[in-house]
Amino acid sequence: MRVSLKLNIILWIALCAGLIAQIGKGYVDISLTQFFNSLVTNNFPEIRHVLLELRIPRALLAALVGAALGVSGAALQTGLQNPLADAGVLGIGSWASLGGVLVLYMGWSNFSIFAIPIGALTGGLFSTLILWWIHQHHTTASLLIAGLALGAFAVAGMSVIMSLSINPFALSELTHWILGSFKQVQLQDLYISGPLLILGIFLLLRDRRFQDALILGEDTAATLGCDLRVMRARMIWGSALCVGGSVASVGAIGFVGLLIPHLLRSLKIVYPSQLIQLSAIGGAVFLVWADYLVRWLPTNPELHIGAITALLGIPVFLRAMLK
Amino acid sequence: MTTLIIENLAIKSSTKKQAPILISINTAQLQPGLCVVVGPNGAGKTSLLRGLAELLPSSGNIQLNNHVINKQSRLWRAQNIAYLAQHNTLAWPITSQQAIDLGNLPHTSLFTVSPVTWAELLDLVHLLPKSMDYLSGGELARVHLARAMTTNAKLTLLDEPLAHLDIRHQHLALQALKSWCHQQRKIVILTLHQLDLAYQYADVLWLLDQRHLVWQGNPMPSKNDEIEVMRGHLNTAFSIEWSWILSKNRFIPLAYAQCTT
Repeated sequence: MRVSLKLNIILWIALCAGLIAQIGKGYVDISLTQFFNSLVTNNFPEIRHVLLELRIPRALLAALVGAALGVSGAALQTGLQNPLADAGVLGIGSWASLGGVLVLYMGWSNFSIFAIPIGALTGGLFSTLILWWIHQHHTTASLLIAGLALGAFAVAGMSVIMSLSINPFALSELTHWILGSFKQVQLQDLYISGPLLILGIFLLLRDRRFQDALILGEDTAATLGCDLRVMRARMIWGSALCVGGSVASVGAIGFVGLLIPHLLRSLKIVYPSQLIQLSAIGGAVFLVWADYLVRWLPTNPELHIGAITALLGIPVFLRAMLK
Repeated sequence: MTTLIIENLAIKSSTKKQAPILISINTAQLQPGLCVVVGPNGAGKTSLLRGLAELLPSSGNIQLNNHVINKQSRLWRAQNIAYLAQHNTLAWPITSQQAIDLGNLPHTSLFTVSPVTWAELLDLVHLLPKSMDYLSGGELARVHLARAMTTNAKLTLLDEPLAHLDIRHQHLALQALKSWCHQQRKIVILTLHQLDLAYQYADVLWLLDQRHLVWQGNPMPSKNDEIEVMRGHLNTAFSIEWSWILSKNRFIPLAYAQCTT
């Protein structure tokens, strides 16, 4: 209990620091005094515009997406009882991307700004349901292999759709969908994805006390008061909302949900209720600082954030798998 | 006062009409105390406990303190009926203390409700901070038993709780269970393969054979003809000629290597 409280305090401080650092960082660095001056007074309209339309939405979305991906990883791992489960590894992110791409290239996105999020959500939900079915009927190892195969299938599907479309920027857009980036985030993205992510995080955090009971197996959990069917539905919908909501705005950012719970577990946090809650805040901290790193690195154009998370995440994945 | 009433109970493997009946009981009634269920393999002991825990569908009437249990809420059942499975899994390596605390999950209070610390009664105090990865089979079984008992339920169902315990801990556990259910006025139903232990501790004995409750009652009947009936049922059910040893004013069944079939 005490370890988790300490971690909570440290992570919340790191998150606040990260948000402040991130808001100040960009093409034009903004100092703290400028930040408060521009928000309180009307003397700096350009800075105020940059802050409200770009910087603050980007920072908040990075935190929300990080929390959503972290918590979905932890919830999938406890729900599927598999320490290697993650939206990226299992291909849920790629399927959400495929849903988004399909909507975009069929031209449905012209009808409503909600078309792409709905497409991403449907893609995520579809793959989560398939994975659940595989989880019910097959072994742990085949779940992971099936997830990898499904993910590769979705990426191939995306590249086919993009090759068929007449779009000179198709390749760079494909990278955006597969690797993810906060580069183009605007206030509107926060409005669209924010509610989906908050709802998803809420659904996954809700059951965390009963997730503890699942440690003892489904029968015992049921006699301890767990409604397994409702919990399963919440896990599937919550994960789909978290992943679909993220992908709709910033593309598929992988391995956050793998990296964060794994690091927490190495700090002896194994109790699902603690792991799920700390993965939410830990994921937020991680993605906020990773996005800061992307902008701090002197590359042009800036790196895709999914590249950073994959570079950090895959060694952790291998370590966890080979243990 | 806790009472359990069972009438026309039939437990099935699924809700389908043609599903085979796993165990049926015409009528049975329990007062607070230790009820030991014995019977050969496949007699329906585990199915009975799973049915009472609502893990298998059942028809008929099961009442705990005049509450029909399958009409109660999930939470009511979790608070009033505790269950220990025969095979227990552990998805993550939590500590013994954390596992035992899971017994409190149905109770909304943050503090433990159990007036008894089962870790002490079951000789587990030194294992509490240990990760369950490092426990032996018998130690694991005691932790799971302590978890089930911590729920402090009116009806506790234990499926072979002593299977991996050494003989000292078997007696320790049975003594603790017996004095607990008498002091707290609770019902404990447990399945057991060791008939000698069953005859030493049971307040009520249920003998199951071929998916029926064939004999129930005090394991020490007072009348001679009742004793003969009970012994006959035991011989038939287990296909074995039991020898009876008189020890400390109790007849204890003992099986020599002499199967009748």
